[in-house]
Amino acid sequence: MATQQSEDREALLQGTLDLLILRTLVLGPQHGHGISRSIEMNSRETLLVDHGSLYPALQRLEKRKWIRAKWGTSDNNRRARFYEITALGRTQLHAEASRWRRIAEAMARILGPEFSPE
Amino acid sequence: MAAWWNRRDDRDFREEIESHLAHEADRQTAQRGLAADEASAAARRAFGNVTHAQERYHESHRWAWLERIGQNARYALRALRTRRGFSFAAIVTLGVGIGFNTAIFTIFYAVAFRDLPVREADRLVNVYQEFHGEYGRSVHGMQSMVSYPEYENYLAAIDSTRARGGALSAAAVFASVDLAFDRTATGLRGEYVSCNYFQVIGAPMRLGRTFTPDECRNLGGPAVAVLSHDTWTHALGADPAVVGSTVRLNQIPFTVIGVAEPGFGGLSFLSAGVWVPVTMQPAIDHGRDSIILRDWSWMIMAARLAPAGSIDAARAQLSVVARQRDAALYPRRETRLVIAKGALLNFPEVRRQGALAAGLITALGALIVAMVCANIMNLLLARGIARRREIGIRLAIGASRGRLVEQLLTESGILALLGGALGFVLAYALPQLVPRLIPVPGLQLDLAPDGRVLAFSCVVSLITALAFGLLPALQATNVDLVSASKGGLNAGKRQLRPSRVRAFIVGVQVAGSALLLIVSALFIRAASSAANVHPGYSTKNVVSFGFNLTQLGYGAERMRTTLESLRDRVANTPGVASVAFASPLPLLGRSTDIVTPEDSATALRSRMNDVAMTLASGSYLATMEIPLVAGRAYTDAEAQRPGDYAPVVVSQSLARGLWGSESVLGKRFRTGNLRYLIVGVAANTRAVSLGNSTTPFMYLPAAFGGDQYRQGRLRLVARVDGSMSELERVVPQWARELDPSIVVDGQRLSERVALELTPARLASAVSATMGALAMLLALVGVYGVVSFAVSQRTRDIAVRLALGASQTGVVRLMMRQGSRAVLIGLVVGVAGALVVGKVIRRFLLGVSPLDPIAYLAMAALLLIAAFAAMYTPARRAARVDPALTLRDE
Repeated sequence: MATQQSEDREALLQGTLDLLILRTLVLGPQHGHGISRSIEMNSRETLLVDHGSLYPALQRLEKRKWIRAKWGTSDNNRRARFYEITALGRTQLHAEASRWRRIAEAMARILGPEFSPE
Repeated sequence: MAAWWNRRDDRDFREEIESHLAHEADRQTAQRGLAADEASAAARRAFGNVTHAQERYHESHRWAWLERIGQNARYALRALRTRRGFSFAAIVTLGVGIGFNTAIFTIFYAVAFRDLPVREADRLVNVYQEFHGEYGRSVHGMQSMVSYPEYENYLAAIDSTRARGGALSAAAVFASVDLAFDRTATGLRGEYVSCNYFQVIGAPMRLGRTFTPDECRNLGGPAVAVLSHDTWTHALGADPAVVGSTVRLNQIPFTVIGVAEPGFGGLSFLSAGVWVPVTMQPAIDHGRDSIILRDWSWMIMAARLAPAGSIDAARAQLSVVARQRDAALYPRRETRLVIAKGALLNFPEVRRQGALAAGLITALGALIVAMVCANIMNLLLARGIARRREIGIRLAIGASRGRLVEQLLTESGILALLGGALGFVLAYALPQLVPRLIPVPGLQLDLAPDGRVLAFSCVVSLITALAFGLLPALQATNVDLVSASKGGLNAGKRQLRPSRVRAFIVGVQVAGSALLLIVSALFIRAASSAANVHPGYSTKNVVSFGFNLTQLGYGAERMRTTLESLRDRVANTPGVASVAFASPLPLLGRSTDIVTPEDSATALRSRMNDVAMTLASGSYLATMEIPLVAGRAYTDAEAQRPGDYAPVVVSQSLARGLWGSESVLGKRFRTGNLRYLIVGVAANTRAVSLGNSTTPFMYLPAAFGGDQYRQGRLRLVARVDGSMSELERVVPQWARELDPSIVVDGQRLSERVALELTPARLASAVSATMGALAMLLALVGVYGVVSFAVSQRTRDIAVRLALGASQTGVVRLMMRQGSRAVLIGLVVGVAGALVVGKVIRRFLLGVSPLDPIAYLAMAALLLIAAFAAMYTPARRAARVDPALTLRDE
């Protein structure tokens, strides 16, 4: 049930969640739920954020000092823990993003234009 | 803004999750128009396993594991408290198993490995010699001990290389001696030492000083002594002015120069009460110079490794000296040096024989612990099934399997540590009994538990915890959630197959107990057969008396007249059948020499090493009832006639070894510069040890050669018809009439034989206890398996009974649950016993390691007991009331 997902939604590749969180936070401080919604919406509901993995990931990033957090109030007037990207996080995002683009480009080149099974 | 760097706690994280869930619920409400409770349920679903996420968060903390251990321990203690009976049984059995092993370890460790009570004990080594090839040697203790000239040679090599980076920096020797002491009625155990002894081993003085090198310069003087603290307090009333005072040892006045620190009693098994320079030996022994004999094993050499020296380097360095001695003295001898870290008992002879025994006892001890583990594992498996529901629920509400396994293992670990603690207490108590079991005064064995003993029992505990805990923990947590949450216990059975695992464990237990029982039966059979073995000489009604004539300074003539007058009075006592002198008596020491046949043309070999001998008067063979197979015994008259050749009686094994089937009467041989003529051949005896009847042996006339030292060791031996106690009473009286200072040591040969059999008796007692314990554990296991099967299959049984199955049929069916495991286990156990029996063959005196009685009796015992254990629960199954049972379902 926890992993209920529709056919066209993809689980995140290992290691990509950190990158997506950092990218989302470039736009401004956000709480955990907001981050996951943002990722899902920006991927046009293609990527599904496993909420169970999100918080450990946030914790991990916080510990590495790529992001930092404080309690605040959300749009719908609830207390929430807001995360903000640090300078170190930005550097890391830059490096990671370009690495990802290189990999994606290489993968696309190898896979070539879309072809049908028949 | 200051909150950015605040450390987070659990509550903070939980709040964040709550906040997330609230936001998600808000979204669900907004998007799908769900009611509040539906929305929050949907949010929870979307989030997945909250507990799991919390745990994962939690574990990212560096110190989480510490907290987790505490939590696990609290949980485990709670779980153990709720099942007191189980916990108690587990802790006690573990305690016994671990305690038994720790006690064994403590004793081995104290005897063979523990550091000696000296400064820098790890740099102290003992130097021993092993001889191969052809040589002659007399042994006064262990053959690997050194003679004084050998020590001097080694010491010279050590001294000459000390400045040039030699492996050893110093070496001392010591040898024990029983002394007459004027301050006590009983004797005193002393040690001859080289004058550097106290410096080399690093034992400080409480009072006065130690020996100076000058005091070992000349034979016979000066007569100085160092007392032990014990002797000083007990025999001299802790006299503060003791230094400079005079004590008499073997009638010789000695000046006390020092008192050792309390607790120091030398480096050997028996504590010494006084130390004297080795150069006093000829004076103390009244004439016999042990110190000048080059082939006389009697001293223990202790050496100090240089800071950069190793045992290998030391062996290499001293081997050069040994090789030079070989070349000079016995070109066909090869001396190999054994250098061992200092310990109470590290003679190579003992190590070699002891290693097998030690290994065997350790292996059997490990087997006991394994059986204890198997039993607890069995209980835990059964318990895991009982706890399936609890575990299923905990898994369902989100605990991870790893975490649960961890908790179950913590339970096992706590059980094992509690058991280990109990075992440690037992192990502390058990060795305290050793001095009572082996009543030797002055036995110094440090049996106090130290770090290593503690570490040993901790390691054993933790190994057992893993051994018995892991499998049940994995089994218990391998739960099919659906069936477990429905409360069904049978639903997951196919997946778990606990009955198979338990049957396997029972098989292992039966195998282990069969092995232990058969081995113990072999030991018991061997002990009784050893008690019945005929040693070739009379052991009943034979009593012998030793006298401290050497210590009293008797000369040869006075010794002879004293002994002869005592012999004559004993011979005229009513009831005495025969009386003689001899040394050594059977089982009371061993003296060997090389025999060289004179007419080498007829002999099969040019010489025979290691021929054991007894110096005996003419009537000795008759007194001991050792049969002559050819020729005659010598008479005392011809023995005392100083001629070229002395008459000698040899054993059959000696005759065969040198001359084959040829008649040996009239053959001549030499030992050293003494010449002998064979006048008789005696039957082989087990005089050296009860286990060996074929040692080449010779009986030499006591008076021939005038060896004063040996003469002083001669014992009066008498065979009586009837009671020995009268003789034991009067002989000391007669001796005191001759000289009030004579101390008589009377001993019955039967007592000596019993002492010789003590190890065999101990072995059978220990192994029988272990076997019984193992069998009990196995029976509990067998009983458990069948009762479990019965409880699982009550419904099945009820159906069968309802359909007309007989009660016998049901009993048989249920017993089949365990019998396969029992039978397979028995076969494996018997096979194991065959292997072990082969290994311990040399300890099984007079019994074949394949002794059918031991095997059949023990297999039958185990089978009957196992089937009885299975019958009780099986019988219960047959009494199931089908109507009641089926209605319940």
